Amino acid sequence: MDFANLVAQLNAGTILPEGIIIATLLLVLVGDLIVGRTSSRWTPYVAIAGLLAAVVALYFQWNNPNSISFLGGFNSDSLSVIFRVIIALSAALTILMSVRYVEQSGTSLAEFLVILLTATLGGMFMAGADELVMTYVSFETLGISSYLLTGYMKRDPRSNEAALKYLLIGASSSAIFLYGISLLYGLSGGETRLTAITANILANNVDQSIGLLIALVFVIAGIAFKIAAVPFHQWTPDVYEGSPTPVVAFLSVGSKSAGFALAIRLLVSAFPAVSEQWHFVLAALAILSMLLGNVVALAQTSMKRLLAYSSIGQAGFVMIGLVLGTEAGYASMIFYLLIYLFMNLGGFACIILFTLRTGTDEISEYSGLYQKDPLLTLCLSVCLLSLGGIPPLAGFFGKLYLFWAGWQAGAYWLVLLGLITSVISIYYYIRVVKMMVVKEPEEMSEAVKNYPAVNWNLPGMRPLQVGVVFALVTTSLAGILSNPLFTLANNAVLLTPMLQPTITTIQPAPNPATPGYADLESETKEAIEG
Amino acid sequence: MEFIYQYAWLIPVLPLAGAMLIGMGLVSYGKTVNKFRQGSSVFIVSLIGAAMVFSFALLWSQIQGHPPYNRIIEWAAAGDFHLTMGYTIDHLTSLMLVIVTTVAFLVMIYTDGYMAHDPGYVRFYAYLSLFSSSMLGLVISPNLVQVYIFWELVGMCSYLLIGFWYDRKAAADACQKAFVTNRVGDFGLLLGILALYWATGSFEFNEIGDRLQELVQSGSLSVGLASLFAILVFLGPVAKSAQFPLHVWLPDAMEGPTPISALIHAATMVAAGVFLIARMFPLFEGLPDAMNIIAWTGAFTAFLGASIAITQNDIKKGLAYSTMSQLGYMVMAMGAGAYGAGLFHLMTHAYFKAMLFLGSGSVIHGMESVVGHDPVFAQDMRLMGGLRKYMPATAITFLIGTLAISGIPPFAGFWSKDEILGSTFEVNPILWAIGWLTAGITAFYMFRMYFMTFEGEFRGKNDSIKNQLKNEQLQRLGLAFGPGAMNSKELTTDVPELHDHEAHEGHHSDTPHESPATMTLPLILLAIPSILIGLVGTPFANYFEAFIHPPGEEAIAGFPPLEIPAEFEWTEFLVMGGSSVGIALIGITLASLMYLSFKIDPGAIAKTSQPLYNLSLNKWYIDDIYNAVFVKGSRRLARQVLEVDVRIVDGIVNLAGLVTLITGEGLKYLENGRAQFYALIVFGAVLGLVLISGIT
Repeated sequence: MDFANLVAQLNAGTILPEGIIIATLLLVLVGDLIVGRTSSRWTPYVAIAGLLAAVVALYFQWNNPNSISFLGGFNSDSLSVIFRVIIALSAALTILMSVRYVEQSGTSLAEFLVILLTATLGGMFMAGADELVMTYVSFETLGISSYLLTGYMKRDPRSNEAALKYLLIGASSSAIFLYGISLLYGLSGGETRLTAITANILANNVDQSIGLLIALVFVIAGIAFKIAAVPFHQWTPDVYEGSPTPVVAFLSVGSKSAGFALAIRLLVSAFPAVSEQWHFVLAALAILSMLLGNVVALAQTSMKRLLAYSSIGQAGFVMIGLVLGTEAGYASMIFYLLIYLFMNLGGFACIILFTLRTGTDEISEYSGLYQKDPLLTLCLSVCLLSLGGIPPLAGFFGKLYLFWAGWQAGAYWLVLLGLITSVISIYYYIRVVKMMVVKEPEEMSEAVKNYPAVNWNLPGMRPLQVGVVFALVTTSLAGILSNPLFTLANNAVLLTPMLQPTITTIQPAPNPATPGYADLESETKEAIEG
Repeated sequence: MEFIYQYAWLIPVLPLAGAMLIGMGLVSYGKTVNKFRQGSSVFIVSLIGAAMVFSFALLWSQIQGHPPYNRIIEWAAAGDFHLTMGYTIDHLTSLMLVIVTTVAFLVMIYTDGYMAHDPGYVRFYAYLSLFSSSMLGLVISPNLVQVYIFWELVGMCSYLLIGFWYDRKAAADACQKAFVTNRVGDFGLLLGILALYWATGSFEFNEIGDRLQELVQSGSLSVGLASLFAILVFLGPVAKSAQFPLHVWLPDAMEGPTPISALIHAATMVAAGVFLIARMFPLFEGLPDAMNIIAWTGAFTAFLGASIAITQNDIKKGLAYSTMSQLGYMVMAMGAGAYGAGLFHLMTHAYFKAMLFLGSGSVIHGMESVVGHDPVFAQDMRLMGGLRKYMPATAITFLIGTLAISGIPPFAGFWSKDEILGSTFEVNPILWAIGWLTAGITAFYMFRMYFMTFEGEFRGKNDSIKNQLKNEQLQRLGLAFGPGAMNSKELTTDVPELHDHEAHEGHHSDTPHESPATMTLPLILLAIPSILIGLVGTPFANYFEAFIHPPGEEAIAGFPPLEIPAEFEWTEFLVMGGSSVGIALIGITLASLMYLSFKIDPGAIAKTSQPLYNLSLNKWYIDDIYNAVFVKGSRRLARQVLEVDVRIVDGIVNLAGLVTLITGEGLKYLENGRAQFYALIVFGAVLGLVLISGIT
């Protein structure tokens, strides 16, 4: 069998974006080996170009009728496309903000990029994995590269400690996850393709067995570790505190999005028999995450830890969309992740910038920053306010859609809790904004008093500036001009066959007769046809 | 012609672009841009000029019978909820576009002379342009949401411009007062918009009216509720058009530079309220209760404003109350169903009131060279007098404006006011009587103003009057701040010369001088419509009415109207017109007896009817009542809330802090940094979840 034939049979075109990233990765690696340290001048841009090229390639995968590839191992439906876009974009933004950071720490940039690209690759494969082995391999690819990234600051003991802890907890939860999918494998009579598992389970008549339930909980535990849902979140504060900030940014957006992609695919296609149970478990995790994430964030004094806990809370909000099981629920979740990508990474970019200039990330050190660096203050304020859901910023519209979908689906308590906790979250976000803006000059902190002159011409600062400004613009405008993103998120759900039967047969929408819901559906369909 | 409609969005965008460009320049390269005074003003003026030409083309095309043009794009959609943006060009819009652009254009030319020595010259032009853009955007809005957006924008511009001299305390207070008062109305408007959306599912003007009628007729919505919604919407115009009880901000708004008073607080923005009523006319029309409330509010405001204007000595305050009174006329006309008449008065008033304000600005400008840059002296009519000799162009144009507002034929104001009074009489004679009486008072106070300013002897060098004015001012301040709050010596050194005009040559001349050509030219240009524009709406050949009519009605007579409609009754017109001219003449005669030939001593009249005089002088004590009820009341409330805050909320917060501390302490044991312990929790959680989900 010749190569072209093989490619056609495997439908390998679907992993073209990943192929591009692998090529970029090799280019960076080999280029660095040949040229040496001076390669750091061009490697980040090559990596970003590769990621953007992958995004372009993904654009052409949109609504691909022949999405199954590798004999059922990989599925490139619209759902996976949109998640892969999110992951690739988050990696690109992370690179923008890490150039200066890594340079300043005196470690090699190319290696960092290679590991980050590997992690991205793992995440992207995870978003499309349609088979148990594939799922586990990509899960571990993402995991192991994340451990490496966490420990990247070799000389910093905190970074080492974080990496070790992350590795240990990660290993134990991945063991649980592996156990879960092996149970699934057994129950389905030796089937690894997610789509075939349900049929086999039903055929084997084990859909009421406790084994399936245990498999479900184990799998959820593995995923919850990735998305840092309470009570599987314990690693986050330590790891976020210790690891390099760009890595934290990537973990909180890219890695989480991959986790969510896996959650949708695995739970919807492999566990319809116990859908009631998985909705219940996830609802519990969502409630715990929203409560604990937002309440504990109140007491934080370090900006990094604050964002760590807030990202736990944010994951709780996103899980609302997952729990609903309606089309609008999934769409709102994707929409929120799209917005979260920009606002959270924007926030991290600002923190990195501040840390680079002052060497600290204590919240109290931010006081009076407005006097010295208005751009940074503006961007950080916009991103934080957007995270808190203040209109008319993007985050408000994201939350609005999530809660609206929840209300439509009848999840009143979840929405109510979401509202209450997002009010709590506004408090700690605004506290930082107030600290930066309101303070009189004499109340300025030491760090701000010694603030260096703003100089964007230092090597590696330009990309950071680009990242900050890009996040600022998107976060402020994506809400008002949210229609394209909104349509994108809706179409991603509507064009995904996997999510369609769930809605009509297994998990009927609680209130399909509601006019708003029906209209939304028909309208979005029109939009697709039109 | 089609292409001018396709590019009609340029009308608001052009001034916006100008404002943005200059604004950006000021923010980033303040010093350099501030030096480009002529350059920026010519730039901004030519942009608004282009918009004006565009508007005239649109008006001409509409007169030629072009059908209304709509252009809508979808802005946001969620489910069955659609938000659209766009613009609509119909008769009403094209007329308003022309009014706004012409007045704005002339005011901007005038500004060059008036603000010539102000350090904020360029900033002022940027604001002016931003305001024009918002106002034009408001006029072309096709739906309520967009109207609301621009409504807030013009409000914001008004705030910025009233407080333009933000280093003057009075200006800073006034802009806040305007803003807060407008908030009250805007909140009502917002509630009204939302309620109407709830009831009808639409933000489009016509759809709302039609659907609401249907709902009311089918009985699914009670008339009372529909009227309530209409009145909520009407609260917006009440605040913006300075109707009782939300009129208090307009006189204070005169702290802003005079071109602003002319453009925003006389000709355009305050008319936005009337414009909105016109836009929402299909809604109000079917609700007699709402119409009655509108008509009575208007009538009362008209009378209130006129009665206060009688005793005002500050020339701008006098004009401000007169504006309020004239706006009352327009609102009354709307409430009486006289759609065309109200808008006709809006148009004529825009021109002659803009001219009067610009004239007063010219007077103040002239006075400042004698008495210095203290608004207490420069704006007080008791120090003026005899100015006609020194500033003839200003005096003649001011006289034309005075005649127009007093309703003397053939000046513009006569035709519009007569039409309002005529249509009101058919609806309710009591309303007519109030309007008629007000017309007399209007003529009286306007001629009082004219005589005090331009006739008689010049009193600008009279020190005893100056001292008296200073004392009065200190007294007022003392009242406002409470006795002993401030050392009076501080005040005397504090008040004058707050904004820097020191470079102004001829500071201490003995006589006022005529203003430069950039100021008199707009006055003369505005005088032309003030005289002639009324002729388009004469009762025997009413071109205006044929052009502007409610959306639901067909034109009364075809367009252009035939010679004289057969049913036109000369006798009725003569009786109506004659009676209003008659009372105006009585007013003028009284004014001339009291302030020109001094046959009657106004002071004596004031003494004999002391309570009435005080009522008028103190603006019916409305400000004091508001101060006692709302300002003090809300302060008291704030104090109580503070108590609650300190005791209960802080208590809860402290408790929460304590809880967080305790949980934090507890969590410390959970977050103890030992990885094996974390793994234990993971396994424990897995076990727990299995158990819980297994049981349920």
